[in-house]
Amino acid sequence: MIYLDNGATTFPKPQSVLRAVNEAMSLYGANPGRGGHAMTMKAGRRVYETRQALADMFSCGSDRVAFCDNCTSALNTAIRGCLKKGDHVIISSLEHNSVLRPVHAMKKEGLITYDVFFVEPCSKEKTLSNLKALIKKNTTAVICTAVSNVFGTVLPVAEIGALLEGRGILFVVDGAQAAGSHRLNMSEDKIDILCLPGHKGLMGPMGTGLLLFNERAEPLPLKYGGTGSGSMSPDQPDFYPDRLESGTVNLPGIAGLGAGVSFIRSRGLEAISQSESELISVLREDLSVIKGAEVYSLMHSTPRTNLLSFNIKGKHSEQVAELADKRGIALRAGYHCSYLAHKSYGTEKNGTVRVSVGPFNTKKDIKNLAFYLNKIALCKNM
Amino acid sequence: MHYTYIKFENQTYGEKAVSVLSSNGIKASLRRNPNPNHKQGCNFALFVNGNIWDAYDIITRSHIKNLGVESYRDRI
Repeated sequence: MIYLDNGATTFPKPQSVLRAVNEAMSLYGANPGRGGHAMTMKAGRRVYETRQALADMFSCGSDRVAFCDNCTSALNTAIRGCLKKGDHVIISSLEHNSVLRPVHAMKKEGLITYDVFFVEPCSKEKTLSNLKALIKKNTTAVICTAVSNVFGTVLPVAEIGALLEGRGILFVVDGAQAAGSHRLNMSEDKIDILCLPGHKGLMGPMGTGLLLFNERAEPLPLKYGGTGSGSMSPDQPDFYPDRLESGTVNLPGIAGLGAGVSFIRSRGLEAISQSESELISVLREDLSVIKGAEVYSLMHSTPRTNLLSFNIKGKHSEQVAELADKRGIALRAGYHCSYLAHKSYGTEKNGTVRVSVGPFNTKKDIKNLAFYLNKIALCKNM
Repeated sequence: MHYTYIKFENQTYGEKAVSVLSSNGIKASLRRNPNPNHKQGCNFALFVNGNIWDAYDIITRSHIKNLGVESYRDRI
């Protein structure tokens, strides 16, 4: 199997991640932060170490790293937990449904209003100007993805952060496709809330997500319950991360995520990013000579990304992915849970075939893919 | 036996304090608070190998949220 669906979840995971999960389950699988015995303390320490490693990687305080089930859960907490009645929100035209749907639901409930700023494929300046034009007096948050999960478009996060600074508008970033392969620095990029999955570029297990936030954000919890702290009060703790972490946290997942972060550090974010973007460049070149292949390149000036979307003329994206699967190649086709992206860029009819690479993919994987895609494109009866 | 410790609301703050103290050359161990206040419920106690007030000063200057210094006498 050639796995090229790393945008959905990375596979394989590093051996160190598997080992960390196994050790957490078999050696110190007690409930972290809930008791005083040696095993629970060790479990709690492991959770803290991962928390601190993530805080260092993304530049925020370790007590402002809250573990969630996944990135969607983090985004829901950021959106529902920070917005209030009468707020106006701006989201980008490349948002995943995990941003669009909670925002749209709050609009339907009569709580907020929202607008969508169009991300111009080839101009950062126009993108910024589109966003700026939508800011109103009651705009309280701008929510945007760092990298489009459909087209690989890299949004100008640092520039948006700079634009919003000092305006009293929360800047919420969905880093689902960026973390682990793109630089994200909350402090330098003026990001107030960063929502991440643990199981994609950060190489952790599924069931791990992260809500990172700075002092300007005070998200309210969506879940209430036991936190192992302030137990004799009926009130949810008002301090973080406990405020957002009711119920037992996913110790094996968090231990694995910690090992994933160590893996990225040892390989180097820059090296991973370069290797992945080189593979995408190779694919882009190979696709350019395949008859009927249409690549959706919605890039700003520096096309450095780990994913690419395309279609083959006369074939639905699902058909192409199915044929590739028969050859042992895992691709993602369809609409990638991104109504807005397809609607905004005209790919709603066929969706797209998405190739997303990870740290373990090689040039040979891409060459094999291109070989079969050429066959698929040439064969009318396939 | 008489014990003095720095109290934290959760293990996160306590572990952070251990780490900060360690980088200042002070050894400390974090445990579940053996003498919790019934109004506050569960929390954590940091036992310092050295002058507790020096440690407390470092922790406070590092903006690590804590519930102050507390003492208790072991009745066993």
